[in-house]
Amino acid sequence: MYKLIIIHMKNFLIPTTFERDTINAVKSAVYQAKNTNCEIILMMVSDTPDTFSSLQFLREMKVSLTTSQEEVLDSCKDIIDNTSNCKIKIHNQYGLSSAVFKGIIDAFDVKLVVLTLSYKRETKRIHQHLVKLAGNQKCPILHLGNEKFKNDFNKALYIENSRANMHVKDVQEFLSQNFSFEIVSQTSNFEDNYEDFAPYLSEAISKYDIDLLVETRKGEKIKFKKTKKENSSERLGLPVLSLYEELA
Amino acid sequence: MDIRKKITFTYVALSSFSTLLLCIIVFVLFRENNRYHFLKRLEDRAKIVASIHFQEDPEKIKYYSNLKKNGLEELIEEEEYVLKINSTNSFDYNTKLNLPNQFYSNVLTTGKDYFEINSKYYLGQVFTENNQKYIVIVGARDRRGKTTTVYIVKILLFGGIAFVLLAFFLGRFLAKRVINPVARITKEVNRISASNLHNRLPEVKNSDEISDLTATFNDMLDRLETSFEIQANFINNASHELKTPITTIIAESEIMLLKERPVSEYIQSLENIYSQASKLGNLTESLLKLTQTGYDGKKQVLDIARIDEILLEVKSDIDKIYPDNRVSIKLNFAPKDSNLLLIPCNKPLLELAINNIITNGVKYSDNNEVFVTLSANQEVIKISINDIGIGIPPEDIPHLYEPFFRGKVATKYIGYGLGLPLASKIIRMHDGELQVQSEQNKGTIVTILFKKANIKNPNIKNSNVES
Repeated sequence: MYKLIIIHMKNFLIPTTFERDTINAVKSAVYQAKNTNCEIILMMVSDTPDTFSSLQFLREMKVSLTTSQEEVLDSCKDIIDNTSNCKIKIHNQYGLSSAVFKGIIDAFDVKLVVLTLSYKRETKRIHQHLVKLAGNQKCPILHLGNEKFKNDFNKALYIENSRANMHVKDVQEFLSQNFSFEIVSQTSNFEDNYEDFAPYLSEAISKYDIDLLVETRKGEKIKFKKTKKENSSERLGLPVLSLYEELA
Repeated sequence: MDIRKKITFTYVALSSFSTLLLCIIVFVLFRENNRYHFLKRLEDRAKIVASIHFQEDPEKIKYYSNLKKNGLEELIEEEEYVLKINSTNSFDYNTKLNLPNQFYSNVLTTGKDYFEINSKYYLGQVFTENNQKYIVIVGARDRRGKTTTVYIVKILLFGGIAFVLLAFFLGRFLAKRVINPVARITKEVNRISASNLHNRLPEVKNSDEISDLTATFNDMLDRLETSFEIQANFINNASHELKTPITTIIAESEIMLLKERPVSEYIQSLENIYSQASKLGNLTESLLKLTQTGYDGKKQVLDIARIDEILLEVKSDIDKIYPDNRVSIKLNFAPKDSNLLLIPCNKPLLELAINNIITNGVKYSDNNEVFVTLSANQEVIKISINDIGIGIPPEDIPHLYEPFFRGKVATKYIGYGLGLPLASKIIRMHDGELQVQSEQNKGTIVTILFKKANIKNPNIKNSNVES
């Protein structure tokens, strides 16, 4: 009997505007790579220049980083230089659509999208659009929290979406294939009554040293709302790994 | 106003509205159709009049008037005029005609127009003969049109009234049909009170909203009953369940205090005492929390535990109380894939429940062999606990889950009748099913089933005893 072993290359996509927490995103990607070969793609998106002349288009497509952004980029590169297995790649993306984003994920063979808090708080429409588009992709998303950076995750709390009907065993099965942490607790979705729920949650989190939340998501139609609703699982400050409900 | 009346009136109002709409459409279209056909007839007349006029043959005029009298269908108050057009906007005017100017100018520009006054129609049409234009005007009263209109209005009116009446009765019927199941549920719910919380609504088979309502209600009753009983029996449960760890602690310390020992033994013993005490702490906390919140499934942060680990922990606990027990945990039917053994639960409570059941097996079989078998697949986790003990007489089985119930044959064993009721409640809280099969003097098989699909759609009604 021959057994075919496929070693997955783990590639990470980090949409960024080179705020300081990009460094954390790169660090956590390096840890998630777990000494396998990987590529970390830092993606900068901007709108397609609105012009009819191709020359002007080319002129406006120029990227220039501010000094602080350069610094962040340099420290990211330093982190990567200290590893033997990771490579960094900078990708400039002009204009974005669902199909284009899917193409990017396919082309770079992305296994995990890492979203930082600062990126999600960007006010430019294209960044908001990217965050929403990422939600509709099947690729898992790691939302980094605002807590202090922690190297690796071990224990996760699974927030069960009552409509999803995903048993914890399926989720754990997917996680053990791709990541190295295990689910130790489960709770139903507390979207509506976060206030009532918070004490129970924080108790469980401190009791079991939970350092990651796992939630599932469904694709939804992209709408731009004036009032931005903050996801309640992000209010706990922990990083959230969001899995698409039709994984497998 | 009750719902029945509301449904009836809404139904009547809606159907009246749609009937009214239909009547209006029928009426308007009917009138249009009448007018169209009458004007068509006038048009034909105008053609004949023009033709007779141009030929100026007295014979034909006579023939025509005869034909009109005898052959053609008579038009009432028929008038016919032929007016010669002199130029684009002047013509010979006939003083008998009393028609608005707008009509004439329309006829002149478009070549054709009609005018209606008191259901009398005038149709004007331009004909050309030898390069000379004429306006032919034929007028007649459409009495038949009027009578048919009145007739259809009558039909619509009476039909409409009859229809509204019919709608009222149909609406009553509909309301009755819709409300009946709800009324039945209300009646049945009225039967249930705090004293007979274990009663359930009869299940409705067809999977519509009503059966959903029944299921939801039964589910609520389950939770209510569970938390009600757990709260009512808190002191009993707590004392019963805390006894075991306390016994262990006492025994451990007694043994240690018998004589002086080396430090390592003290450490070992203190570690044992510590682990028992912290277990005690966890248990008290879980029981307290359970009593405090009742069982509200939504407000729980559940532990994700592996069921085989729970079983092994229970086994090691039992080893402390019954050191020479013959409980054997068989995991060889358990799947290799450890994810299938994951279960969202409240770990201290679930451990307690399984512990109670296995301990019962040990106790009531005079420390005979007890087999605990674990099996699991994609749908279900199944634990079966077989003992070769005194068994349960059939008449005792319905009372198994009543607190403080002691079977007749069980009286020679020390116990309070609290272990199994609490275990069954805890298992029910985990959306599990507890089945007891027993034969007197042969043994008992207790099966615990956790269905994974059930976790979303709790279906706990079947947790009654199957003997």
